Amino acid sequence: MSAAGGPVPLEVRQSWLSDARSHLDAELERVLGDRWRLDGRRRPPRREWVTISDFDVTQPCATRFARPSDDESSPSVTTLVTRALAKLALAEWDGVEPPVRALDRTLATLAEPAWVAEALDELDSAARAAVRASVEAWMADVLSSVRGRSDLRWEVERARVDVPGRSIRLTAACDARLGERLRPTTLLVHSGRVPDEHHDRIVAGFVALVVSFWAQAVPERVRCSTAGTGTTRAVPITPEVLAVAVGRIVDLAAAVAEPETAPLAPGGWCRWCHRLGECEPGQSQLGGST
Amino acid sequence: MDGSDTPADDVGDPSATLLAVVEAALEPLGSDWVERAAAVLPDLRAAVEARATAAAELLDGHGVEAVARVPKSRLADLQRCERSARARYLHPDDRGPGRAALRGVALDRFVLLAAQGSPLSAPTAELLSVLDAQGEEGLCDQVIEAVAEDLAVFDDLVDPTEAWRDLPDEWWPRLQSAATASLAGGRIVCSGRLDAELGGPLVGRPGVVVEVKSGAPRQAHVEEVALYALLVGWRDGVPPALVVRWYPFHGAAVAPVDAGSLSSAAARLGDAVETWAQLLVGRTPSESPGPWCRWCPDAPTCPSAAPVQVSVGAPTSAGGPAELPEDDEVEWEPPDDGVGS
Repeated sequence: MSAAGGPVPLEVRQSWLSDARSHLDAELERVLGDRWRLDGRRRPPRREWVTISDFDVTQPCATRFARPSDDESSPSVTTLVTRALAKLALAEWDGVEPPVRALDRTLATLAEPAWVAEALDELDSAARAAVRASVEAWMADVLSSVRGRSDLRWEVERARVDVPGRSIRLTAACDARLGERLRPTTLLVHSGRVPDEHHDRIVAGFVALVVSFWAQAVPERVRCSTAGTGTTRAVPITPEVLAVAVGRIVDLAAAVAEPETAPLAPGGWCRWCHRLGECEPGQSQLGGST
Repeated sequence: MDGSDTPADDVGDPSATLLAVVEAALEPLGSDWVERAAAVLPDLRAAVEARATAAAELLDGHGVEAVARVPKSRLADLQRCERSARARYLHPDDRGPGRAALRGVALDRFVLLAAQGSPLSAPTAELLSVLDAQGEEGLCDQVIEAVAEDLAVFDDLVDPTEAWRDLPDEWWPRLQSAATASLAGGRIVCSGRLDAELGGPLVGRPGVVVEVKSGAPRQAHVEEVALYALLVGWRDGVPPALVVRWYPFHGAAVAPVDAGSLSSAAARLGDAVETWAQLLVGRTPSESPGPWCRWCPDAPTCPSAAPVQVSVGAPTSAGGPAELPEDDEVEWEPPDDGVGS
C-alpha cells in the first residue's frame, strides 16, 4: 500500500528492486571483498558455492549455518515430490471439481518436471499411495489457507538466482502468485513453520527479492501461510522489508566467510543442533532451560 | 479424566463401511446443524486467546522466549499428571513406539492404503514400502523386528480396513491433514494431525473428522476428537458436522459436533495452556499417579509413582511403576510435532 492507501505504483516498486540489488552488491563487497567473486575465467564447482535459502534466513544462529552438518541424508520421496506434485495438480484444477480429480489427471500424464516423474516411476503401488496421500494433504491444506480460490498461478519449481559476479546462490520456495511472472502483485509462501510475524517479514522480503530478481518490480505483498491454520498473513513489501532480507543474506555470507567469528544465538533450537556437543553456550542454554 | 475409561456403548457395527456410518449419522442432523455449532467459534477463540495471551505474558516475565507448544499429546499428559507431562517434555523418549503403538502405526498405514485404493496383498511388505516412502527408517526397523518375533503381529489389522475402500471423490478423503491454532501472536501453538478428514468446505459437504484407534475405546479419545473439531472449526471457519472414532475391532463411534463439545474442548485447551505456561516458568507440578507412571521419566524418583498393577499377560516387577493395559496406545511426540521451525 502506498501512503495514500492505494497500490504502490509500478515504477516505485521497480526502483525499490533496483535499490535492493544495488544495496546487496555493495554490502557483499564490503564484507566479502574478493571472496566468492566470479572472475569470469573459471566458474567454481557448485559445491564450492554459498547457497542461502528461505529456510536459512530465518535461522537465528549464524554459526550453525556457517558450519553445516556433514550428514547428507537424502529426503524421503514424499518430502521430495509432495509440494511440486501438489502444485502441478492445483494448476490443473478447475476450481469446481473435487481437487483429487485434478491430481488423477496430473499423475496420468506426468512427464515434467522429469525429476518428479522419475521419482514416481521407481515406486511400487504402496509407496505411490503414500505419496498421493501426502500430496492430497498438502493440496487441502494450502487450499484451506487461500479459501479455495482457483485463480492463483502455481509455481512448481523453487526460484533460484545467482548473485551477479559472486558464486552465491539464493533459493526460495514461492508457491503461487497473482499477476504476471514479470510483474507479480502477490506471492504466496505456504510452510510448516510456526506462525511468527518476525519470521514472516524476513521470509517475505527474501522471497520477494529472489523471485523478482530478474523481474521488473517487486510484488506488492507476500502472503505467508502456515500449515493447518487456514489463514494467510500479508506482508507488504517495502524498502525496509527488502533491507531486512538483504541484511540477512549479508550476515550469512559473512558468517561463512569467517565462521570463527560468526555470531552465536543460543535458544530452544539448540536442542536439535548438530553442533550442540561442542557448543558451550548451547549446552548452557539447554541446561538452564525448564 | 484419566484416559483409561472405556466408553464402549457408542461404538457401532465393525463390518459397516465408513461411508455408510457417516451418511447414517448425518441424515438426522438438520441443515443448520453446522451453522449453529459454528456460531460459538468466535467467542471460544476469543476466550482461549485471552488465556493464551496471559500465559504468554507469564512466559515473557520469566524470560522464556521460545514458542510454547501444546499439542494433543501434551493436553493428554497434563490431564493425567502435571509432573509426568513436564518430565516427558524435559526428557523426551526417543526409543520409538512400543508394540501397541507400533500396531497403531501399522493400522494408520493400512487405512492409507485402503483409502487410496491400493492393494493389501502382502501387508508387511506394503507397510514397509509406505514407511520407507515417508522416510520412517526407524519405524521400518521396528516393524522388521516385530515381524521377526511374531510373523502375524499386524495381520488382524488388515481386513477391518476394507471399511475405508471406495470412498467417493466427492467426499475427498484426506489423511494426516494439519489443524493448528496459533495463539497469542504465535507464542502458544496447539497443533494436531488428523488421521482422516472427509468432506468440508473445500468440497461443499459437511466435514467429518476421523481418528483411527487400534486399541479399545477410551474417554481420552472422545476428548481428542473434540479438540480436533475445535481446531478444524477455527481453521475452516465452520466445524465438522461429525467426529468419528474408528476402531478396527469395535466399529465406528460417531458423535455430532455441537456447541457443547466445542466449548468443552476450548475449556480444556485453555486450562492446558495456562497450566503449561505455569510449569514452564517453574511452578511445582502436581503428581497424579496412574498407569502412565510406566513411561514417566520421573517415576524412579517421584514419591507418588504408582505401584505395579498386574495386568493379564504382562510381566511385572515389584516396586516399579504401574503396567499399562496391553492395548494402550502410548503417544510419543516428535520434536517438531508437525509445525516445526
